[in-house]
Amino acid sequence: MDALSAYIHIPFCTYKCDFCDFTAFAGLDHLSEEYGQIVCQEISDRLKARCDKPLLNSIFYGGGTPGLVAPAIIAEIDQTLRQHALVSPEAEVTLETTPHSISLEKAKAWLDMGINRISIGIQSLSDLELKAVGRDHTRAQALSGIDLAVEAGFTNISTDLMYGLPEQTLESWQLTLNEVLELGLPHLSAYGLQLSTNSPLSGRYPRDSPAYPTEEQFVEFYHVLTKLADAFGLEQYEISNFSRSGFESTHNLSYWSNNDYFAFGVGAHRYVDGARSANWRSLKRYMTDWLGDELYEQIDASTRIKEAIFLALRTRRGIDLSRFERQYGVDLFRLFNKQIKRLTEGGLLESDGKHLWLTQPGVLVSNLVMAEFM
Amino acid sequence: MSTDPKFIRNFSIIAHIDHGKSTLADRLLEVTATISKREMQAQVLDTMDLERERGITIKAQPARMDYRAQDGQNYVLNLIDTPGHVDFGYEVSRSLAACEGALLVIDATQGVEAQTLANVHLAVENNLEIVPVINKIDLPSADPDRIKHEIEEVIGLDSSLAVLASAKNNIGIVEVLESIVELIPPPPDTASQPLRALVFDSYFESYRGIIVYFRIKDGQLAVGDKIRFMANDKTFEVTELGILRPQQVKVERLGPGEVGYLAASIKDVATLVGDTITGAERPAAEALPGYRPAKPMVFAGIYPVDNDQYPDLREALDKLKLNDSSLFFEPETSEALGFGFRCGFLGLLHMEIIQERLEREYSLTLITTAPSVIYRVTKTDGSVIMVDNPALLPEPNYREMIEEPYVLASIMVPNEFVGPLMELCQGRRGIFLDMKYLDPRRAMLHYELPLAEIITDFFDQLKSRSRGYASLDYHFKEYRESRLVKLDILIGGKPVDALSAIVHYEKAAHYGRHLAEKLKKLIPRQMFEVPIQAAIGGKIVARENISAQRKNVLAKCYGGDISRKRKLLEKQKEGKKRMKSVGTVEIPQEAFMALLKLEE
Repeated sequence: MDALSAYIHIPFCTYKCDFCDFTAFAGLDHLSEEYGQIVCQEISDRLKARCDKPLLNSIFYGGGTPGLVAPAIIAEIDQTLRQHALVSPEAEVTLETTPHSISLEKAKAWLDMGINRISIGIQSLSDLELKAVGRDHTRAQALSGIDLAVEAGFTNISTDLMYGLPEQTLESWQLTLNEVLELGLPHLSAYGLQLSTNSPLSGRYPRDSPAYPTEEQFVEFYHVLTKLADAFGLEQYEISNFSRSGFESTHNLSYWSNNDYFAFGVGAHRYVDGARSANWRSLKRYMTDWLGDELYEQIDASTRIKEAIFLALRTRRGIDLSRFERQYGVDLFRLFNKQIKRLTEGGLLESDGKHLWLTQPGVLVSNLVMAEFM
Repeated sequence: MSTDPKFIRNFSIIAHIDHGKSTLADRLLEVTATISKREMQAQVLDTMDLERERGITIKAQPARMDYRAQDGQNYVLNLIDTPGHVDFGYEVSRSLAACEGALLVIDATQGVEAQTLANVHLAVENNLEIVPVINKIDLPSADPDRIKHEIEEVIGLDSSLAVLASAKNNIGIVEVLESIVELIPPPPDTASQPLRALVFDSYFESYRGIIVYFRIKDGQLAVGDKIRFMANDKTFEVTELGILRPQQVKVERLGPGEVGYLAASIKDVATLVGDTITGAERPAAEALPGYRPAKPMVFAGIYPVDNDQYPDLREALDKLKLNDSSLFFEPETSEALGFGFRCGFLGLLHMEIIQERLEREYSLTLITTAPSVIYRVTKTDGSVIMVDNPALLPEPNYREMIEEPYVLASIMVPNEFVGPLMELCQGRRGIFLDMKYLDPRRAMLHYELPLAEIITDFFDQLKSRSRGYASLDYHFKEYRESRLVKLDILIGGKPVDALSAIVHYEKAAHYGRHLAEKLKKLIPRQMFEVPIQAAIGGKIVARENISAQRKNVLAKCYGGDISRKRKLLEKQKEGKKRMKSVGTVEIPQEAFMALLKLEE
């Protein structure tokens, strides 16, 4: 049996960023202790019901800001998880945090409980941009947060950056990138901003605001990103992820491989036993009905194939064709002959007969390319 | 028992569009208690959703009412509601042929309009007794005296008989009913003669077969009778007979002058409308005159977006034809769009209505190409062909001459808008004939115009340049030679036959540029760059470029929410289904109609 992963959602934040449309709550951290208890209850309820103990090779504390809550809460969840599942000794155990939630004490506590990877949401090193998107920390806090993690002894550190932000220019983006890359950290995630309607950001900076970079500039930002990451020895292994060899995120890769994963906590999404389901998004509802489903969808064979295609296309190696055929029983080149031919001729896809992957121009319009396979 | 013809009155309501015809019909049904207040909804006789939504009548609808008149007698009043739009004049003439009289509704604030006149002419041709009804008299701007004056001067009817009414507020409705009884003659009593009934409508039902709406002119009809359709030369046995109230109510027998429906397990009959029903055993010697067949004036290709829907489209057109005999269609093939049909329509509105009915009533997703008129082309070998599809126009070296249909257009317009409307007609290659003043405030313009210039956005322009006050009526005059050329559109370097147009040579380059610009706006950016070119006889006259979409990336998959990403991609794909792939380019439906809206 393949090793599985587990995602634990910790929704608390000091401030909900203006672009965020995920399950995150500011000013509710007084509930974090009780919330931790309920997550433990959910873990034991769900895993006890299974006939065997699953083997985990990745655990991911995501949010929200898991780094914000008392380390003891995380520790208790971690212990509960280890009671009901086997955790491989090489397992990647990641905790997401904002930079200003890190303290030396906390970081040491995280290391002590077995967290071996930390993902820090920096987003930008320009105070102007940070303010524009409603982050409640400064560049100084970002840099000192990273320092603290290093000082505490973390070696597997990732930072999150964003591009396409209002007020961002090619120069400012290059500055942020250079400064982050010079730190020599082994992993970097860089996401293009996706403006969701109804977010406070779209109120302040609507889609057509001149403060956003143009489409041409956005494309240029992406090229600068891939060029600089490469120059600093980070390989792009997925649309938005870059790492030194051996530091690819196990957790992310398991998503792109369409593997099963458990998930616990408010609004968390899982893919277990052929079904995708999600917990209640409402905190109140989750805390009284932690086994209830906000969503439940049995994934049939054709949907499974669609998902496998678009997930694998996110990785730079692309789809492993023979593995795909073994796993899903279909020859992709036969099933999507017309689409693949057209997209390859148009320079958006490439194949050497063993793999099928997005070219760099293809990455930039990956939505369109993936939609061709839906 | 059938009704004594003495007590039958058959009438239509005719009017210019929006003068309140359907509302008056509603009130008549209500006052005669044909429809209870509880069942009443606005525009009862407009049964199609489309009619209610647009507030227009498309189909003629019959309704039978019982009315006790002030003379103490009970009368049967058969109302046949008619469409008001110029495109549906054919429906009007069919309804009129089934009546002895007509209510002519005139808006008390607007007065006589272009179609008021056109409809009066139709009624006069059919020897109908016309009862003027001046409607909306309770509006502050109503001017019944001016309208009466117009009725006398413009139409030439006796205005002393005009009823003042407000259908909306139930004023004068009883007076209208009394006028119907008093002024409209009863049908002659011809019960003993051989059966002759005029078919004025039909539609298909899967269970009972074709349902026929008819008006008995002579003789009688009963359930079980063997009947023969004289033009089709086919015999059936009547299985069901009934009247329309307006819902179908079965009866055993109908006599002369009565209006009803019948079912006779009729399948596979192409055209029944206009045919005469007679008795199989005792046939009439001669059929009724029938109608002037409707001539389609406007042609367009209708194609399924998804080629698999082609057989469904054919079936849908067959069925719709039963209900709308003015619809014409024949199969055609387009390199760009695949298999479809070249369809003929009475006008632009008719075309829109047909497309919408096909999409709604038969769940099809369709592309309609820009409408074209029918051209008469003389080839160099002396032969003459009719071309209803620009893509089929012979190359210049094979053609001697192109002739196009001209219409005679009558436009009624308040004086202050005469200038702008003359400018409009001039710009559309119009030839000015004359101008008459109907009264101190309004003029009637007569122009000869190429039909091709009217079927684009002429009507919209007419309305917008006269703040809605001008009205238009037109009819075919003759074919005339014009200097016309074919404009081709190339997308991605390949000509798209469905976007070709025949245009006047002086306007061709201008059209080409506009069309290319318009297409650039209508075709969304694609994964690849798309060049758009307009060409006349191989010479490129305009060029636009749709740059490739360069950025469309999935955001982070927070917390492993894969379903959401998948749904987003599926939605993106779904959006493309509304578009037609032509080569590697996805073209939305609207793009094929771009030619129509060039002036925007």
